This record gives sequence, structure tokens and C-alpha cells, in this order.
Amino acid sequence: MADTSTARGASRSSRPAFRTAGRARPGAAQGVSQRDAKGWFRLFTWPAVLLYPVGFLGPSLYGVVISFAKWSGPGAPLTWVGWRNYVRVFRDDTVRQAFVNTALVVLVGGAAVFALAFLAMAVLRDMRGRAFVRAAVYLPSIISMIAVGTSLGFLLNPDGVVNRLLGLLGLEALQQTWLDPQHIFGCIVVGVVWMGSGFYIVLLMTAVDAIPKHLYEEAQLTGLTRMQQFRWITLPLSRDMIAIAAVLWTANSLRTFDIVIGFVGTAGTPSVNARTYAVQQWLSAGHTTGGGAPELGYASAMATLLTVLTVALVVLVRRLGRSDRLEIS
Amino acid sequence: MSRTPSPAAAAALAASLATVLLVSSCGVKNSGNAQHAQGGSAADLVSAAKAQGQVDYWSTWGEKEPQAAIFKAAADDFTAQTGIKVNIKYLGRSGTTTMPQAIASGSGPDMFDSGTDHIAAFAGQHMTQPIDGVLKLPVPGEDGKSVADVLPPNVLKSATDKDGKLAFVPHTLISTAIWYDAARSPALAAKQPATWTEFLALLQQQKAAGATPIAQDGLVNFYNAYWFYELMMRYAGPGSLAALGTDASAWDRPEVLKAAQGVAELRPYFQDGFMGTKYPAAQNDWAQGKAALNINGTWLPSETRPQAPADAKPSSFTFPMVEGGHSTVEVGSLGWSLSAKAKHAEAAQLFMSHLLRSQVIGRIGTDALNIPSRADAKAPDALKAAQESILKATETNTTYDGATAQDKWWNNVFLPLDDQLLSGTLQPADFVAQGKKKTADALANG
Repeated sequence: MADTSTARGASRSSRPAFRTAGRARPGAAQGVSQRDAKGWFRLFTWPAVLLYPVGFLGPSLYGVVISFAKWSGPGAPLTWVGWRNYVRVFRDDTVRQAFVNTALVVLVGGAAVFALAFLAMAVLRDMRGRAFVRAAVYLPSIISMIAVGTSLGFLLNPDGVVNRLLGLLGLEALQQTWLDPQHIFGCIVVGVVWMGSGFYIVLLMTAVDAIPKHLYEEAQLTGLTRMQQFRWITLPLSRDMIAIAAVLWTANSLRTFDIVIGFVGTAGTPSVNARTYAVQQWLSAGHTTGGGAPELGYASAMATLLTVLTVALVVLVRRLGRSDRLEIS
Repeated sequence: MSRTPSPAAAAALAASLATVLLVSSCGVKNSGNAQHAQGGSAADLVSAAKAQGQVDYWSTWGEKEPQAAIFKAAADDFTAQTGIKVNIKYLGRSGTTTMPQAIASGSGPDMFDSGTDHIAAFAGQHMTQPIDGVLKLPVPGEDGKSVADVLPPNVLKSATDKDGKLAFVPHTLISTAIWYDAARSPALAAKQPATWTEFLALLQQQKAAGATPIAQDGLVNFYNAYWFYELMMRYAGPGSLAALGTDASAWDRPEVLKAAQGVAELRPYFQDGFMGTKYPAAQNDWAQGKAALNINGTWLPSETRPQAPADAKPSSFTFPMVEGGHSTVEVGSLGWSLSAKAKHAEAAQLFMSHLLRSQVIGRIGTDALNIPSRADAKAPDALKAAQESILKATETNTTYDGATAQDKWWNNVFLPLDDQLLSGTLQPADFVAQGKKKTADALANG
């Protein structure tokens, strides 16, 4: 039996070798049959094929289904309400405010993060000690957002460290009630920028590292300033990575959540001025200080809309960032 | 693994059973649609409990908290006396998040921690069943006294659902009061303001003396809401705040504007930047004597104890009266609910009756430093005034008048508006006008 199968296997392996000649198929080149390679491939994909629908697709679709129902969770009756939850989302003033806040994080926070990242791309490229600086700016990204929010929250108390420092420096005029409803969201955006910028700086610097150094040397010889080098070399040759970073920023910042909870704390619910869309969704899912039943259908409708918006924005950002690949000779 | 009860325990069990039989012979009928909860006769319940042999109790107390230690000791004692094993699982405060799924799937506990604030939510999720049957069970070793006999009516009311059924068996009372440190304010200890006018005069006097009259953790919106809520209870009585969330026309009552105006009168007396103060900075300042007063729940003395000076004597007075107003006192409670799908319902109810023994509930006052649910159990010194006002009250209301049951309205309409009223970005008349409009919109939007 063994001999027969070996012979059969050998005859099989010979055919793809002819068919794929010149197409750089590693399996064929190393004498492994295409069918065997496919078999192994299928075998190894089975866990993913099983887990993806069970762990992601199923629950996601279930969430979409639930968004058409009124439901307080397991054990409670489920009533189908059609599009009612979606209509309610669009009519809800609190959701509207939370959405505006989220848009501010995406746009204003995004502008600040990418401005810092571009500045780093221009300055850090050939700076001494750049590895240390990169590590230092990346550090906030690995700290828990809850920890950052909580710490900043206490630093910004009326008699906290920030106001005390301003007082010591003779800048009493700048002292504020940072966490009151008028200022708290601005502080949250600053916190998000401080935490997020390190990651995007490191990400974009990897693209800068891949740019051949001789281009900059030639630019220097022709008298281009550092900003001109950034405009005509760094930016065009990092465009793909910038597009990827923009997609990541969009998807992540739309879900801004934990830093808000860290700022406000879990005693009480965040003021409407401080809520992001994800926080509002969390509150709708029953995480409030009140004693009402969760509105999981409503929260699912919010989640579905956010997913649709995220996909649309990601596609838009990808299209805006699309460009012909530049070849470097 | 069954344990043989000691002779003393056996005697106690026999006495308990004899009392049960005596009570059951009075012809107590099974009523209501929840057979377990209504319990048939008490003797039937005890027999069924022993046959079941165990109770699954999921606790949201931390394992190292005094309450957890008290209930664990009581569980061990219960097992020794009855042979019924108590399996305690500690979930922590976030336990209520996972509980609905567990109960719905039938893998949940027989009993779990509950409170006045959670009655509506747990009922809405079909997690609980009424437990009026427990009321007629004798409390072991207490001369035939039943659970109903040892719990005052005001306390039972705080554990009752909107249909008048007992939702949980209370062990701890909570209320809201205005707190001061008698060691630092001897004049206040001698005489507390009884009326709103006297209260404002006290605040003015404190401010004139250069003190901060009120410490307020303004980032906790439901602490900010205490002022409007208490004024509504004074001006319009129980039910008036909850009505604001269910009927937009309730905002037209003149008492609503009066209460809002009362809140506006307080603005000059909070610490600087109070709306941007993050919990627990303000209450810690109060504990350290940097402010004279703090409005808070009865947990405040134990919560601020580590920050307070050694000689601190926290005490409280009830919210001042307004002319022609209501003298209602807030009574909320914490206790144990019976799961809607309890597998050992009778055993759980019998355990609850054991938990109400005076030596167990008494430790809520001595060990947990809270107000015990039994009138004959002493509260710690700091809470004696609050306990007295609860027990003497002729009119009571639940925490926040039960308005939190309108969860979406409470969090999205009322609390944001109340924050604006307290901070001064909204004047009383605008608060009422916007409250009416936004409530109407919220009700129309489902």
C-alpha cells in the first residue's frame, strides 16, 4: 500500500511542476505536490474557518438581529419592533451630542495626532538618540487608557497638580475648573492625543526608515530645506503607511470609550458633554446608575450604525489615500 | 460530606421546626402564582429545604468586605444547624452584569444580593420572584418571632415592588442625610437647622466666617441630584420626582419650580470649582474638616473613615423642612433576592430567615458600620441619627423616589439638566421649561 501511494504521490507531483513552471510556486519547486499543499492549507485553515463564524460573524449578525427588537437581555421577553430602535437613535438628543463629541475626537484629535506624527517624521529621521525618543513617545500607548484617564482626572481637579503648578509659575490666569462640563471634553481630547500619538509616530517612522538615505543626501546637495525634503521625499514615499495609519485612527477613535470612564470615574454617569458614542451605547446597555432594565436592542442599533459608519469612513479614507506606488530606482 | 448537627444545634432546629409547625397550623395558605416564593406552609418549606440540602448564593460583596465575612459566618452556622450546605460565590460589584445570562440559562444561583435601586431592573429582566413566603418564617432562636415581626414596616416597604410583593429580604438600610463632624462643629451638634430658612442662614454664617459650607463632588451627577430630589420630597412629597419622568405635565406643578429655586439658592455655598471636582476629593475634604457639610448616603462615615482625623465624630441631620411641606424620610435597603429559576428555593428562603437572626444583623452595625435592617439592632454612633429618623418616620420614600427606574430619562434628561441647574448654566425657570420639553420628547421617542 505504501509503495502504491508513494508512486501515486510522485506522479501527482510531477504534473503541477510543468503547469507552474516559471510562476515561482515554492511548493512545486521543492517537490511538494500542489494538491498536498492545498490539503495542508485547508487543514490549517479549519480552526479559523470554524472560529471566525462562531466567534465573530455569528455574534455580529445576532447583534444586528437584536437591533430590531426590544430586549432587556437573557430571561426577558423579546419583542420585535422593526426599525423603531434606529428611528429612536436618530431622534435622540443625547446620542446626537455623543456623536458630535466622537466626531471631534476623530477630526480634531486626528489632526493633532497626525500633525505631531508629521513633525516627528521631519525631525526624528536623522536625529541623534532618535531610538530613545521613539521609545519615549511610544510609552503612553502601552499604558491603560483607564489609568491615564483616572490619573489625568485627579491631576486636573480644582486643587490638583495642574492648577497648583500654574499657580507656582505665576500663571493664575490660566487656572481652570478643567473637569467641569464646559472643559472636560477638551481635556479628554488632549488625553486621547497624548496617548495615541506615540503609536502613530512609531508607525509612520517605520515608513521613513525604509526610504533610501541617498535620496536625502542628494536633496541636501541640491540645497533642499528639511521641510522641502519632508514635502518632496518623505511624504510621497510614506503615503501608503499614512493611509494605513489614517484608517487605524478612524476605526479606533470612533470607539473612544475607556479614557472617558477613567476621567469621570464610575461613580455617576459621564455628563452629556463628556460622552462619546461608545459611552452612550454602553449606558444604553444598562451600565448606568439608574435601576432600569438594559435596552440591548437599542444599544445594538447604535452598534450597527457605528459599524456601518466605520466601514464607510474606512473605505473613504482608503480611497482618498490611494495612489500609484512610487518606484525608487 | 453531610455534617451531623451538634446537640445544641439539633435542639435549636427542633425548636425551630416546632415553631414552624405551630405557625403552619394556623392555616397559612399558599397564595400567589409563585409556588416557591409564596411557599405553601412554613413546615412544608422547611421539609423541602432539608430535602434540597444546599443553597447557591452569589454575592456581589468583595470577599474581604465585612458584609461578606458576616454572611459567610452565618452560612457556616446555618449549615451546622440544618445540614444544608451554602455555596457562596463572590462575583464582586460587576456581578450583576453576568447574572442575567446565568439565571436565564438555569445555571445561576438560588439567591443573590439586591437592593431597592435594583428592584425594577431585576424584575424587568425576570431575574427574581416575590418572596412574601419568607415573611411568615420564624427567625430561629427568637421565641417564635417571624421575619415580618423583626423587620419594621418602613424597612419592608423599601424592599417591596410596585405590585406590593416583597422583592428581597433586607439586611442593611440606606438613606440620605446632610453630614457634619460634631467634633469640629460643636454648635451644629447642639442644634441642627430644622427648616430651609435656618439651613440657608447656617450656610451664610459659615461662608461669612470664611469656611466652605458645602463640599460637593460635582462629577458625580447623582450626588448633585440629591439637592433637587430632597427639595422635591419636601415640597411635593413621595412620588413627585418619579412623576417627572413619566408625565411631562408633572413639570407644571409649582413645587417643581420652588425646588429648582431652592437648588439655585445653594450655588454660592459650594467649594470653588465644585462642578469639576472628581469623586472622592470633596467628600475627603469634608472628612478632613475643609468643608462643613456634605450631602450623601449613610455609607459616608465608613467610606471616609480612613481620611478622617482620629477624633472625628461624623453625624447627620435630615433634610430641612419647608413651610407646609412633607416630612418624608428616604428609606432604601440592601438585601437578598430569590432567583426566578432557583433550584433550591426553599433552602434559600430558610437560609434568609436564619440570616435575619439578631446576632447576624447586629454585626451590620458593629462590623460593617452600616444601619441594620432590624429595629432592635444598633447602628454605629455616626448613623444613630439617621437610624432614628428612619424608624420614626411616618412618611417614607425610596431612594431618589424610585425615579431611577426610568433609567433612560434619569440619565439622559434629568441628570444633565440637574447638573446645569446646580452649576448655574440653567436658571430655575429654564430648567423647568427644558425639563418639560425634553421629557415630552423622550416619552414620545420611547
